[in-house]
Amino acid sequence: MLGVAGAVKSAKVLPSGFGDVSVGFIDTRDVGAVIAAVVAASPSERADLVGRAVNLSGPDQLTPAQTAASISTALDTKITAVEASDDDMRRGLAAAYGEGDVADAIVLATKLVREGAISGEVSTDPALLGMATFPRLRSLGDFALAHASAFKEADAAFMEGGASTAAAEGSS
Amino acid sequence: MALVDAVLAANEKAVIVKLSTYGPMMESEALKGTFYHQHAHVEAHLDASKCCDWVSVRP
Repeated sequence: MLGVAGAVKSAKVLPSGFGDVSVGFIDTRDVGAVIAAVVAASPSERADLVGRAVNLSGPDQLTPAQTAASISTALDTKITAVEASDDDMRRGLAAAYGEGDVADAIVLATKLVREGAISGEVSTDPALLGMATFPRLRSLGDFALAHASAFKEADAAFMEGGASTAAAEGSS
Repeated sequence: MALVDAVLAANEKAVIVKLSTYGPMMESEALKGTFYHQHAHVEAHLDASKCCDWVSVRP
């Protein structure tokens, strides 16, 4: 998501290659929290997880339009989802992550999700959800707020207030 | 993989929680050869070792 934050910030658009497919974005802080919970769990608590690969999804399955709406609400700024071509996505991702396999693989995976070759909707494994220490997962709005400076220019009113305060402090 | 081996050698009672990419991408034939499938090799290696508890989390 942060790979397209620059476009959100500069043009108030959310480029997406997912078409109308819903995707369950998860906050990276929650990924860490879930892993910490698994590590800290007692052997009996994680018995159903050992030796398995388990899926972990964000709390909401959102289309690109819903994703843009969620960010809009959180940041109080109108953001519009726009369909991006694979080439546009590759250029944007390369700018964020560097040229190479990662950008290419993400573009390919996005294309496969868009075309229905692989699912964009993944449910969190019940064995994870059943852990007593499974954390409350943050919404996409929570994520946008936590990274507000990446998604949004500093609020003009705040800047004016800050400038006034600084001027007042400087004069005292 | 070397890191996995080092952890296993250091502590046979280790609990390894592996972070990978999410399931459908790992299982897609179309994505073979990309970094998504490298995770599957690590899981197979961990499973074959049978010397530790491991969990692979796929966000």
